[in-house]
Amino acid sequence: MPLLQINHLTHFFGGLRAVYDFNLNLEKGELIGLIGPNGAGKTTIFNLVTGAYRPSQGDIRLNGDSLVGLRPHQITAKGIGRTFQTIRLWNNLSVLDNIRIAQFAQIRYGVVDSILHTRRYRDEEKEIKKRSLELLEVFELRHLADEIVANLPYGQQREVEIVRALATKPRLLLLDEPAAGMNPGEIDTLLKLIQWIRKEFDLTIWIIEHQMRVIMGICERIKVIDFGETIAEGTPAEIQSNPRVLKAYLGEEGI
Amino acid sequence: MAQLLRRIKEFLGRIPLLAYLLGFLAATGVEIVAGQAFGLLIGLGGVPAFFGVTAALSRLNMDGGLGGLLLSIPSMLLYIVPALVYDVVIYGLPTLLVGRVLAKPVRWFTSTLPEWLTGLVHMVTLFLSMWVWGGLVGYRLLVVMYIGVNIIMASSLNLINGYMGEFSCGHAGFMAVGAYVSSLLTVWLFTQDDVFGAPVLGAGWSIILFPLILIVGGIAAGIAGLLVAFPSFKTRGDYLAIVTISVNFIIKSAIENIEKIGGPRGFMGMKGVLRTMTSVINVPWLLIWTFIGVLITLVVIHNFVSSTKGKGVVAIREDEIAAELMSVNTRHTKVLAFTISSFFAGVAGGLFAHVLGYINPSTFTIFKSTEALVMVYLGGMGSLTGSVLSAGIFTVAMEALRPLEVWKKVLVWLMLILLMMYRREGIMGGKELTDFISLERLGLRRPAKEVKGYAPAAD
Ligand SMILES: Nc1ncnc2c1ncn2[C@@H]1O[C@H](COP(=O)(O)OP(=O)(O)OP(=O)(O)O)[C@@H](O)[C@H]1O
Ligand SMILES: [Mg+2]
Repeated sequence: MPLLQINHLTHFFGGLRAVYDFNLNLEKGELIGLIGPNGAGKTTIFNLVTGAYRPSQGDIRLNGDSLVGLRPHQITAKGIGRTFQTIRLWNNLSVLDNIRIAQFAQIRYGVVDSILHTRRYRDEEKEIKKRSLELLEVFELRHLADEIVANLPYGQQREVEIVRALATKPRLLLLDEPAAGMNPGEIDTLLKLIQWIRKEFDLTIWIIEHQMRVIMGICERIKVIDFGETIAEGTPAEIQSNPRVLKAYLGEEGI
Repeated sequence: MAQLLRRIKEFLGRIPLLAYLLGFLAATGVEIVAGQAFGLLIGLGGVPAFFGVTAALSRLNMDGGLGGLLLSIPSMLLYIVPALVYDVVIYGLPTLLVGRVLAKPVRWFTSTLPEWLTGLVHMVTLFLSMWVWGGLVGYRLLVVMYIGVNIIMASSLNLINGYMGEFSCGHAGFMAVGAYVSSLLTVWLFTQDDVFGAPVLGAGWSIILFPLILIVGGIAAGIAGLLVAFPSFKTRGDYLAIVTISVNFIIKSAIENIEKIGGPRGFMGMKGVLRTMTSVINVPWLLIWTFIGVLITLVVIHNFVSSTKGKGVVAIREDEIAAELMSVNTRHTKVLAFTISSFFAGVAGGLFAHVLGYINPSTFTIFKSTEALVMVYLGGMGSLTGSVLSAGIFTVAMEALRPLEVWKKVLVWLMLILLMMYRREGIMGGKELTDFISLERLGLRRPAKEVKGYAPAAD
């Protein structure tokens, strides 16, 4: 069974058809890309998968269980983590708090435990903190644990956002234009990082990218959408020479 | 000059909090023994109720037009001088002297205790000094209890407006629910009353059940809090603010329309409840429960918002959509926050009703809610110690400025305008007092192992 199965996914914003008949079978361990010009509907697909919007039509299944109608935090708890196209960290909180809060779904203690500082509360909080620091350690961000997120440079904020997504214990990681705003050197580092976390955390990864050349080197498979419709699918080499893709990107220097 | 200031700061910083508290306790002792005589001697006519502030302001002639007002200023100044002498001699010197002498022994003493016991010793000392100080002039005790009620109001509202970032302006509505529910229960159970008849339970029960009834009032208010919590799933910001105002009005009108409990005329009999309680054991019950109520409120809110679960509240403020997408159950968290917040408003209401002895629906209008808002913003959003400070300052200002009559309100609201213009982040600016003065320095936490004797001087 595929890890993620999307069938006939369609979404309207009022009269605007943002996504139309999108299908995908994502096998465990794959690393795939989704590209398309501005406004093609890429982010909307991520928002549909993570429950931020409820699809107008179609079905989304994780390990065979339908996700449609679940609230976002429930979907995250089932194992889908994500980052955002424009960074959405909790700006006035410390790096550590950002990572801690993302483990909300793992909390088993109740409010009363948190107020009375019961043993259960202390054990769980200790565990959450330990795990957060370990994660930060892995990304060499531990020394920034107490730093307020808003004070970090852009590149580090991007990293923290990835760490936060990993803190939710995902099986599937959705990255929405992770390379946005980075220079070629930073992009290289990022791509290595993505390949590394895929192995290290045993993840399936789905990346949205605006420019195809960025993810050409790391994706096994790429889907291309335009005006909400899938116009091509295949290996990076196939996509690069596909006339429909070239046409969609005509006038854009991205390809 | 800077040198001098630094030396003063250093001197004051050496004294642990407990030594200050003991010093103030000693000062109240001095006042009991010598206050009256000294006050007469320097021409204050006895013990000034409120550090001389109220008495000084009441020298102002508020009814004689501008001329009368100006002419009365010298008489106020003439009063201020001896009042200052009184404050320094009766309060300042004994506090500093005793504080300085006890600094070392206190540090040693607290270092032998576990931290929770140290905290308890602080609390008991603070309670005793408030009791003794307040006991000398009845009005003081009243103000101390108002401060307590306001601390509970401000810090519970801070959970919503400061930590969660929603704008609730109906806090007094929940206060009303707690006030009425607990008052009706105590009056029905423990007093002879026109509406309810003879007391239902023996007087002995009153001292046991009183705190439980406060909690029942809180629970009722917490349930009323759902009136805001559920709409908050769908709407936020300005729109939710309108919802809170409406809830405030709904609660007030609902009470107004229940004739049985006095309708718009209000409800009384709570003084009788207190008489019943003191007839069993004669201690200042209300002061005790206000004190404990404040403590519990602060501990609960502090512990909640510093847990990972409670930090979900702050994540909602920072970015609600990201919170929900990063696994925070935002609905559950909102229900928790609104219930906890209105629960404590209800408890504050119960205490307030019994302090006042009489309540009516128009006590709990949006004006009362606004006062709570002012305290939250004055102290700083998301700062509990800020709420404690501002509740103290606001309550004392409201009482001390009473002689200014209508101008009191103008002055207070003018202060708020200036605050919003020049220091929007409030007194504490989103920080806690302990971010400026460490717990070690205050003597509330033991210094790190390597350091012997005094806590390190550097913060
Ligand atoms: N919440 C919304 N309400 C209405 N229209 C929306 C909403 N979100 C997106 N859209 C529209 O849906 C279409 C697809 O948007 P989407 O953000 O998914 O594009 P995208 O492929 O991610 O583009 P980009 O590369 O610019 O990020 C666009 O026309 C956009 O204007
Ligand atoms: Mg997008």
